[in-house]
Order: sequence, then structure tokens, then C-alpha cells
Amino acid sequence: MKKGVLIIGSGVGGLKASLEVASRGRQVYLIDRSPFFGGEIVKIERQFPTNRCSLCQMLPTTNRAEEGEYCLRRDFYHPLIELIPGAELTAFSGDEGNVKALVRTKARGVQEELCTGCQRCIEVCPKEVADEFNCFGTRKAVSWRAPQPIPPIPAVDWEACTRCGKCVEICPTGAIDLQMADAERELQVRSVILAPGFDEFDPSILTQYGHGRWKNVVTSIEWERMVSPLGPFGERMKRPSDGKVPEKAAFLLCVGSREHRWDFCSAACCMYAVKEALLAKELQGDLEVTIFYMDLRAFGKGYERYLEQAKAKGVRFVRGRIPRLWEDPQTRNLILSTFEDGHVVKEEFDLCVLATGQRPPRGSAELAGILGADLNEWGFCKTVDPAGVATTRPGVYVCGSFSEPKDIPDTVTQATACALKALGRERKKIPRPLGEGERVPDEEPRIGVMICQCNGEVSRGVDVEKLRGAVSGRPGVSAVCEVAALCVQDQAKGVLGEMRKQAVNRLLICACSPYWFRRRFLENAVATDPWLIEWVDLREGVIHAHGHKGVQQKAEAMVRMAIERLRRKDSIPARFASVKGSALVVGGGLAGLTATSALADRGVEVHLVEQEAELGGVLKAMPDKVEFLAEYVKGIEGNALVQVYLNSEVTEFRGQAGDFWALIKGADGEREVGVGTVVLATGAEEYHPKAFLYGKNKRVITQRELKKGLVSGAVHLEKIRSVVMIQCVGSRDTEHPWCSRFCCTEALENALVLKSKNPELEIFVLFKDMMTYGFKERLYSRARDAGIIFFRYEDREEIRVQGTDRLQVVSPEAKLDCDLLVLSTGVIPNRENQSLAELFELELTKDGFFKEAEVKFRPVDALREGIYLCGGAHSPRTWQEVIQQGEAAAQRALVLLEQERLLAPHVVSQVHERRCSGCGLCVEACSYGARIFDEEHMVAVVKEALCQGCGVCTSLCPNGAAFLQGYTEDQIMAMIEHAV
Amino acid sequence: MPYTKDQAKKKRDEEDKDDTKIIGFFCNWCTSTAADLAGTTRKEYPASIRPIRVMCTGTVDPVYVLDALVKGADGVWVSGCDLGECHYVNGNYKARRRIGIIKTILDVLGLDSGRVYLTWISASEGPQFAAWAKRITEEIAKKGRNPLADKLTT
Amino acid sequence: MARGVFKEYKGKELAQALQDLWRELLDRSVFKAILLPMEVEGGLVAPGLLTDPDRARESRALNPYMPVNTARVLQMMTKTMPPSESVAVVLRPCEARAVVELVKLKQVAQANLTVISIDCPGTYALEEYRKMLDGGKDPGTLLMERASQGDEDEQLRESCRICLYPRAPWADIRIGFLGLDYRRRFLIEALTESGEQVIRELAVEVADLPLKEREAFLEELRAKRKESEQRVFKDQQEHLRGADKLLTALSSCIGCHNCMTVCPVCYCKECFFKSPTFEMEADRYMGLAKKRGAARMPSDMLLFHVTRMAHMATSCVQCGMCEEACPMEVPVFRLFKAVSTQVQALFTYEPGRDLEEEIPVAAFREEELEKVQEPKI
Repeated sequence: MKKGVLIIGSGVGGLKASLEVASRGRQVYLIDRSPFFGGEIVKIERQFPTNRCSLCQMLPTTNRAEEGEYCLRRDFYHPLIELIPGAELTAFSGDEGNVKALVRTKARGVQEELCTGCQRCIEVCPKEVADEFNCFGTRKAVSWRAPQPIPPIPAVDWEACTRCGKCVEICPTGAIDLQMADAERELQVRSVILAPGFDEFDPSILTQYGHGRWKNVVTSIEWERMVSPLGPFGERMKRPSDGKVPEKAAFLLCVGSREHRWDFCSAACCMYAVKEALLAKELQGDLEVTIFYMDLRAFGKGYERYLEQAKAKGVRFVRGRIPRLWEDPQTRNLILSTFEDGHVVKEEFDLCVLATGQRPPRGSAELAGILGADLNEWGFCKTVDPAGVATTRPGVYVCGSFSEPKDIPDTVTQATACALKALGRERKKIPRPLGEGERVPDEEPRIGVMICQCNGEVSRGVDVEKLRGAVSGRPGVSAVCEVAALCVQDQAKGVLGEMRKQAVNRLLICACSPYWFRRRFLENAVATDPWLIEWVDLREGVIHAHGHKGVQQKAEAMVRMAIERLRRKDSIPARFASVKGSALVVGGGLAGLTATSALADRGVEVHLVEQEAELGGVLKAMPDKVEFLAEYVKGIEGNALVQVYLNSEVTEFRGQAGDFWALIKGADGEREVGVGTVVLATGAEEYHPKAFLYGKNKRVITQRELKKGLVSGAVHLEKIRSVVMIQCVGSRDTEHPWCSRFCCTEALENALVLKSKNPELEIFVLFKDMMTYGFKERLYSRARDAGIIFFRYEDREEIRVQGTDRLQVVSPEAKLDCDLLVLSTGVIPNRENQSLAELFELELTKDGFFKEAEVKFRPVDALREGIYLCGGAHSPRTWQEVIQQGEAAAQRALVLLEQERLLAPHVVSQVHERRCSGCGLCVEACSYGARIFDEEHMVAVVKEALCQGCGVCTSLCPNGAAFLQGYTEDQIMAMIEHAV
Repeated sequence: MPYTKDQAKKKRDEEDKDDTKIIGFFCNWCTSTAADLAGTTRKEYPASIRPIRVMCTGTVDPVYVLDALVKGADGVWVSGCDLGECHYVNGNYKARRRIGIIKTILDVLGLDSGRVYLTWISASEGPQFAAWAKRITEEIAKKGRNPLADKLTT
Repeated sequence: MARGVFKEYKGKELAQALQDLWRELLDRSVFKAILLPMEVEGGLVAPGLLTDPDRARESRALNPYMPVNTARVLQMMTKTMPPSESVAVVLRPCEARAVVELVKLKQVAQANLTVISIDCPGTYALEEYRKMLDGGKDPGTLLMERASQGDEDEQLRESCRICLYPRAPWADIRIGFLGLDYRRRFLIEALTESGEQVIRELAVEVADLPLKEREAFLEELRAKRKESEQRVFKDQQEHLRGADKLLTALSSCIGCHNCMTVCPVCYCKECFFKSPTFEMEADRYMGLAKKRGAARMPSDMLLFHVTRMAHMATSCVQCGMCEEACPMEVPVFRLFKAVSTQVQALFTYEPGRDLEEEIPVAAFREEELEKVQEPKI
């Protein structure tokens, strides 16, 4: 067994990295310092820019781990991921490929194998402490941080615990052990991924904002808990001081970022403040929300439109960093000074939310010390590779905010690229998919019903004798028995033995909610096909949910329904789909080259198609990237696994993931290729400005032309006394409502180079919002320190440029004479995108870039299985981000390509060929491309290995020719009849 | 005279028989989680709800809703993820169209489309699930028994 | 402005002029066969596949009797393998609309098929049609006279009296005579490139034609029909609405499934209700019966009708074949007309209007149907 990967931190980054590594068949050890997994994301119910949660979309789409298909906030499972809660790294040695890590697990106080999740210990614990998860209110010394956490086992907070022992007494299985010792474990892995996340900046040290003193000043995460349905107030906006519903709320940005001590930008705050404002307005339509900001950093994909949406919904944006707040001691309202119509005015608010920045988490410096990874001046982890995932210690990779504050889409992309790097270049063909059960020959169903008493919980509400009576003797039922606690191994084994004696071939378990202990039970029931085990939730679903009325009747109805479903279930033999192990990369620019080399280095045959006569795309024109590009190209041209097609295009395309067919047309003929996956890296186009005398006056150039000119000498610095730069030319306007992301950085870099060559040079930058997110903020401070002068403008139409030789730039704020006008132009979608989208059956976003499956959690996947997006085809990016995306796309492709065969899961849709009328509606309805239409036989066909099991195709099939395994018409209609 | 055991049982059965019964089609990802949470956090709601877990609201075939009503369910409650949150991206949008068709059919035929509910309940909304369960049960109980429940013809 | 040509004729009736047109199309080999209404043994009319121009005399395109919806026939004919030679089909508007729906559902192949739709003032039920035949007068002529005077014949089938499509919204070619001086000319209108090609093969130039009078006539006809339609809706709401009234109306149903068999847009190879899902074990019937004390057998009769509605209401062209075929006087047409009109309105979908328009159940829009979902608590 090849060595696995140790992943430290179970937030978004850690979860994604774990799933990526596990999807490639490697073992993952996921540790988190907290006894509960999930990191900060579990505190945040909804994310921008969809204002909804889609965390579960991170789960794999092929070789799905069916036992883990559940809300990712409540349950996390993959057969190759071992969760080690409450664990920290204590020692580390070795090199890439061969690492020894010593992990110390803090005693949980509760033994996982014995806990039944009854919560009695939490109820009787006498000690209350501040609840750091829900931020307001208290929790007990033995508790869990949210209902149904991961894992659903309470933990003892040793600092708060008084050792009174009440919990030990009340626990029905004796699971609590206050003498439990910490444990140490040595793990031998090939590499480590660091994903410790961030700590929210604690604004109480900025006393001018009054956090910690004034109740109605809250941080953004506190606000998230306030409005969470599971939070202290339920899904209502209430002020902490008096519970009043606020009418006017203020959001203050850049609290703890962008100042002397912390000269970086926390990247996500602008957007999450807008999200919180929008969610606040959703919850309470008449709420007036004002966001006070310095620069509105809406630099990501779809963010500008999101911003416009917020403005349209009435969120008020006021530019200006608020220096301080005052509290009215009577009303507890907050007052601040702001600027309106040229006057200073005071405004009063019921509630004030501080958009606090991100900090390296507590203890991360020590952790980095153990790992030998260098940190920067603020304690964030340094990266040394072009993709930005490798730390200074070989074998240790980093993702998420610990490397640089960032938002979720960037974290997820980085985590994916991390997984690629962490697995090195070893090529592993996963020989056999996981999890095949014993096939039960088609026989009469003989159901064994096991009623779990849950240590008396169940009989609190249900008359078990009656239930037993109602079940025995029903058609299909051959044995009924009761058990005190099924989740306890000995009891489970005992009762299973009983069942086996009675030749039972299907099991019906009446116990708690399946996602608590079903897997624990399955570990004991190894000989039975999990598909033939049905689970009825009597505890959470009936007893804890209802008073007394109707409980018995409901319990009996639920059990009857489950029997009807189980009777009609048959064992499904394993079905496989083959996967062609080669890839098609469309586009030979930086993104395409990165993906190609990542794939070819790992033994994948790649067909690289490039429209132009040379590889390189936009990079070719970059004077400072010439060597970099040359190396890449050399590597690729020298690799026997890569077939490069220059002057070529893909003209025809069809098939499904694992088996695509493409026709490549070049100058010298056509070639058909069969591939398993496609990486779309067709790039974006540079915007050519039409205004500001560009093309008419040779003193007007773009940033790229400036760079080139400085290297070639075409730009003569000696003759220039003043330079003006205009930002957002061709971006963030009505025709191009997106930010091109790299232009502010590019402009500042160029400006600093100019200044360094000639400090006397006058440089003026006209900008809307300075998009120097993350550590790029430093560039901005340095630029200001160097004497570069910045002027804001609101509408580009207001800027005029005149002059025949020397130019004069006129904006509402200034009249600037200059010798050189540099336009910061962004990118626009490639003009071929529409026809490419039709060819590959993909969708485009409103802006014209390719649409990914999910903005935050599946950023480089297209919804159609097997196709991945990176680079300018996806959205405007900086060079490093393009490389990261290219590697992420390669990782995603490898998940598919490394399979010898794909195993089809159980819950997939199927076709009754005889009944299929060939109408094709099901094929149209499938968003994943898992269904195709067989023209020859006029029937629909499902590639089960790609099917996600949503059932959308089956619900529109009129006669059930399309049916969903496990949810057939037969089963559901029988369940309906027994429900009433 | 006090009831005999059999009489008492018969009376109980009859009472049970008259209880409101609502069949719920809840998506595996969001609403089922919310239902589990309602139970875990002891947010009580009426036992009239008979849940059937489906993978997505998009899995709900119109025939299921119609069958439930014809076979005598007093109400049908389809609930899934918030729009934009569907695990399968757009299953709930498709479900909305299907339920739209069903409600229109019921309206025109006078079979009380008000007995069919479509809600979006996110995974953390345990309290909301309980609140909806209460509200739906109350509203349906007020309407009385489904007239189709006692008919000879199904 | 329409594109097409007026076909003038003298000394014959419209019926004969049309027969001449079919003959010419076959003579010139524009088509190798035409599927169109023909007189069958005994005098009734049924679809026939005509190949010999000499037998064009036997065609009866104008005769107001529709035994089946020809779209059904086309499905049977072209589904598995479209014709290898060019074929034309002459269809009433409801049939043409059904064909469009079936093309979308891949049940009718368009290859080598030209759709010719002809104006339809209405049709009669079998009994009425027989009476007219026995009476000696040509039913087609009778109807034309009344129709051109703007008079509606009370004896027409109900579905025709409230039909809003005397002219098909889409076809390759539309033959028109309503609102025109049909005694000396009729209109051949081309709506597609292949339609124009057909006209050219008749050695005639395609021109832009002003059709104000015809449009006005059709509008007036539609307006009158809409009024009648409203009356039928009101009737349904009064007499067929509510559990009791509905079950009474359906009570004579014997589950023969004729309505489904003749319905052009009920396209399933094997009906759901004939599939193994409904081959139920005795215990399930027992369970059903125990719950309510007694259960009508066979079960699921109401379910059949409402399910059929759910499956095909969006594509229902309201041709009324269902009620014609029902042997037990169940008011199927009334029910399906009322339901399908509302369901189609929900999606502002008109079946048969546009080949590119997606079947509503396979698509969705992000902003729509807000009333269907409950507002968040």
C-alpha cells in the first residue's frame, strides 16, 4: 500500500484536499486540533456569491462513497479518510515521499465506540462556559459544538470540567472516562498538507470600535451565528443587547487589515460583508444596511454582478473607513461620523458589524516550526513554487488562508492543486474500485427486523411489544428481535448471529438517524450487502421529534413503509465502466501548458491542441516570461507522452467521461482521438481599448506594451516627466461587468519599476477600487510611499483625454498633463467561447466565460462530467492563479484517469430498454451528461458510473422506463400505501 | 360502562384512523438533515408527517403526489434545498415545474391544490422544519379529511 | 405578409381543385407518396398513403370527418425508420400541432417528410357524419358553405366548436381557404425553405402575398370560438369540479384505455398503467380495501386519468379524439381541455407553435412559478 497523506486542519481546505487525495485512491489522515471537524465553514451557513450553501458539492462525483452522501456539515465520510479528532502534530521528520509524523490525540473523555449520542451527559453537566462556537450564550463542559457535529460524539473540555462525575453516572453505556489519557500515534506518510485555516481577528484590541464593551458591536462571524437557524437567536436578526429587531445596520470593512501593523488585505471581507448585507435584507426586508468601505474588492468571478445585485436591492455603500464608534448608553445604539454632500454628519445604527480580517490561527507558528516551514512577517506560511502551494520544507504543502487570506473558491482551487503536489508524480492505476458487497442470489426476501432500544430511549415513546407485534408475520418478514444498543459492537455481533441462524437475507434496523451510527454498525455487519440493509429512524425521526400523540402509529407506519421498500430491493452486482487513460487539452497557453505537464509528468498521454503556430498563448508576448515559457515548452515537446497539434482546432466532439471522441483538424489533415477527459484552457482575449486616444496617439499604450517597451527600450524614460495610468479600461463597466483581477497589480508593479528607474517621475493612477487583495496590498502601500499619487473616479465616461502630442487627462478630480498614458486593460472572453460551448455542450456565464459546476466548491469542473476548466477560459486570473488552476484541473482529471474502471454506485438511474419510447427527454434533463441517446436503437442509455443518482430523469419519464435504483415507482407507491 | 380491552383498542384505532396524515417527500441533502436536526434538538412537531426520503425533490415523480392523494393522504409535502443550493445544481427548479403542473391539475379538477405544499428548507433549518410541519398539519387538519380517502374509486 | 402563391381554378369545386393539386405533386414526383384523408369502403374517410396520381380522385381532404389523429399514424410510420423517399402528409391544424410535439419527442422523424396543413372549419362525429352522407349532400361542401358565411354548425364536434386553431401555427406548407374566395382560388403558403421548394417544383414563383382579409376572418372566427370555449370552461367548473362531481363523471370508465391509445401525444410504447408496477399482489388490494371498507376494482382508475394529465397536458392539442373513442360517455375531452389549457398557460407554452420550443417538463427557468413554492418562514 503506497503511503498516504497527512492533512492538518479540517476546514474547507482540509476537507477538499482530503477528498481529492482519497479520490485518487490514497489514504488520508485528517487531523484537527478541535474534537470536531469542519473548521470555520461550519459557522457560516451561506456563502457568496450564491448566498446559499453548497458544501456537499465537494463530494466526489465518480466512485461516490455512498455511505457518506449526506449534508457535509453534519457528516463526513470516505472509506479512505481516517478522521483523527482532537489531534495535533508533535514531531515531524523525513523528506518528500517518506515522512514520519508524530500525532498526539487529546483525550476526548468519551469513548467513540460506546457513545450512542443520547445527549444525557450534556443535559446533566452542571458547568457552563462561554460558547465559542455560537459566540453568544453558553455551553456545557461536556458538549458538542453544534447539533450533530462531525463526529456526533460529545467531548469533554478539560479546562472547564470539574470532574464531578455526573456525566459518568448517567451515561447508559459507560462511554465516559474522565481518566482517559492522551494518545500518541506515529504516521508514515508521503507528504503533509497544511490547512489550519485562520482565526478571526479579535477586534477588541481596536478599542475605538468597542467590541467586547458595547453589546451591539459584533464581528462578522458573530453575526453569522446570530442569523443561523441553529444559532442563539434562531434565524432572526436580533440585537444582542435587548433582543430588539434592528432597523439600521452598519458594516465596517477593513477592521484589522490594511494598516501599519497588518499591511495586507484579508481578501474575503468585502464580499462577505455584501453577502451578510444581502442575507440580512432577505431575512428582514425593511432593514436599512450601509456598508462603509475603502475599496470594494469584488475581484472574483461573478462578484461584480453580485455587487450590482446588492446595490439594486438597496444596500447602501459609503466610501470611507470609519475611524471610531460611539455608543449611546441609553439605547445602546452606535453612532459614527461619515461624510455626506461635503459635510461631516453623524449617523446612528442599531447594530454594527465589524468585517474582521483573517489571522494565522493560534498555534500555527509552533506548528510551522515543527514542520520547518517558513512564515512571513505576519505569520502566514510562505510558498516557493509557481503554483503557490509548496512551503519551504519539501514534502509539506499548504492551502487556504494560512498561506494568504483568501475566499472559498480560491481555497478550494488551491486545495485541489495541493492534492496534486502532495501525491507527487507516482502514477498509480487504481486496480479495483472500492466496496463491493456479496451478491445475494435472487431469492424470496427474508427480512430480519432489529429494533434497537437505544438503552431505553426508544421505549420512552414507543411500545416496543406492540411494534414487534405489528411487524412479525408481515409478508417478507422472517425474524424480529430487540437489542439494547446496536451501536455497541458486542450487541450488534450477537444479534447478527441470531439473524444468520434464521437465514435472513435483508436487514431492517429500527434505531436512530442513519448518519449517526449506520457505518459503525456496518463495520460489524461485514457479511451483508449494505444495499440490503434498510434503516428506520425511530429516535430522531419519531421519538425525539414528537410529543405523544400519534407516535405509536407513526412508528408502525414507518416500519411498514421500510419493509415494503426493502422487500422490493434486490442485490445489485457490481457494474463497471472503462476509462480511457488519456486526456485532451484544448489550448496551449499557460493554463494548458501547466495542465499538460502536470498530466504528462504522471504518465498520462495528452493531446494538446493549439490554434496558433506556437505554444504559449498570451505568455508569448510577455518579455519577462520568455524563459519561463521556454522551459515549459521544452519539457512538453520533449515528453513522449504529449502529442502537440499546432495550427489546429477541435471540430467535432462527443461521448461521455471516460470515453470521449474528438476530431482534431489541423493544417495537415485530421486526426481522431479517444480520450478520457478534457481540459479546456482556451484562454481569454486582451481587451483592445477604443477610447482615450488609444491607437490615435502614440503616447497612449497599454500596461503590457509598457512592460515590453521598458525591456526593448521602446519606452524612453529620459523623455518622460509624468505618467498617468487609468485602471479598469474595459472592465467593470456595463459592457464588461467583471473585474479582470490582475490589472491593478500589474499597474502598481509597472509604476514601481518606473519610479525605481527614475524617482523624479510623476506618476498618477486613476482608479475605481484598488484590487490589491491579500499580500498584494503591500504593493499599494509601497506605491503610495514611493510618491505615486492616486485619484479615484466613479464613472470612466467622466475621464477625457485630449492633446495631439503631450496629453492632458481630465477627470472630475484633476487635470493632469502627461507624457505617457498607460491604460490598464483587462481581458474579455475569447470570441470562440460560444461555438466552443456548443461543441463541448457546456454553458457560459452571463459574462461569457465558461460556467463551472459550482462557483465555490467545484470551481474547475464543468457540470458535464469529465470536462475541466482553467485559466482565462474560466475567468480572468493572475499568472500564479492560472498555474494553480491548471494544476487543479489536472488533479481533477487524474481522479478519473487513474481509474482502471469506474464502479457504478447503487443509487443510479437505469433504463428498462423494452419500455423506453426513445423520446429523449431524460437525456435533455441530465445536467451531468450521464445519459446519451442511442440513435441506432432509439433508446436512452445511462453511463451508470457517471450518474449522480438525482432522479431528475426518472421523474419526467412517463412510464417508468427510466427508474432510479432504490427509489423505483414500485417501491415508492408501496410505501405511500402503507403510510396512510 | 367502561370499555373492554377490545373496545378500547378499536376506539384507539378509530381515533388513529382519523388523525391527519401527511406524506412528506424530503430531499436527502437538505430537508432530511433539517428533519433530523429538529429531532436532535427536540424541536417538537406533529406525528402526522410520514417522511419518504428521496435523493432530490427532482426525484419526485408527479404520479407519487397524485397517488398519495388518491390513496387517501390528507396532504403531500415536498421539500428540498433552497433554490441555488441543490446538490444536483438544478433539481429543485425542475421539481418546481412538476409541482406546478400538479397543483394546476388539482385546481382545475377541484381536488384542492392547497393540500400540496412545496417548501425549501435548508440543512440547518431544524426549527423551520418543525414550524412548517406544525403549520402544514394545522392547515390540513382544518380542511378536514381528504374527501378522496373514503371513496370507493381510486 | 405571407410567402406563397394563390392557386386559381375555374369550373370545379375546391375539393376537386385540391385533388388536382395532389395529383400534380405526385405526377411531378415532388413526393413519392402523400398521406392524406381518403374515402374508404363504405364512404367514410380515413388516412391513406397515396402513391398513384390517378387515384388522387379518391382523396377527401376537405371532408369534415376525423377518425384518428393522423399524427398517431405518422408516429407508427416514421418512428423506427424514416422514409427513404420524400413523403408529404396533409394534416388538420390539430394534427399538425401534434406532429410538431411528436417531432420534439423523437416519435416522428422529419427526414424526407413535408408537413402540409390545411384549414379546418371543423369535423363531425361519426353518427352525424353518417347522417349527412345518407342525406345525399357532400358534407364537405355543406360545411364550407356554412363556414364561409361565418355560421357555426351546432352539430360540429364540441372540440371543434371551441378550437382556436382553424389554421396550424406551423407547417412546411399551409393550404388556406377560410377568409378567401374559395370558389375560385385557394392559398398555398410556404413557411419553411422546404415548403418554398415544393412550390417552386410546381413551376410557380413564390411571392409575398397580402392576406388582410383572411387574417381578419380568422381572428373573428377565433374570437367566436373563444366565447364558446369560455362557456365550456364554465360548464366544467360547475359540473365536473370537486371530488364527487369528478368521480361521478368518471364513474362509467371501464379502464379500456381507448382514450390513451388514440391520443396522438400519449407516446409511450408501454403505458405505465399496463406495466409491471400495476401488476399488484392480492394483498395490496386487500390493504386498499381494508383502509376504506370497500374499494372499487380494478383500482387506480382516477389515478390513471390524473396521471395521464400530468404526463401529457403540456402537449395536449385538444383534438378530442379521446372522447370520440370512449365507449362509455366519459367527458374526457372536457376534463382534459380544461386542465391542459391551464397547464399550458402556466408555462405560456403552446404545443405545436414552434419546433425549437422545449417541452416544459425538461427545462426550467430560475425566475418563474413563484406562487408554486411557499414563501420562507
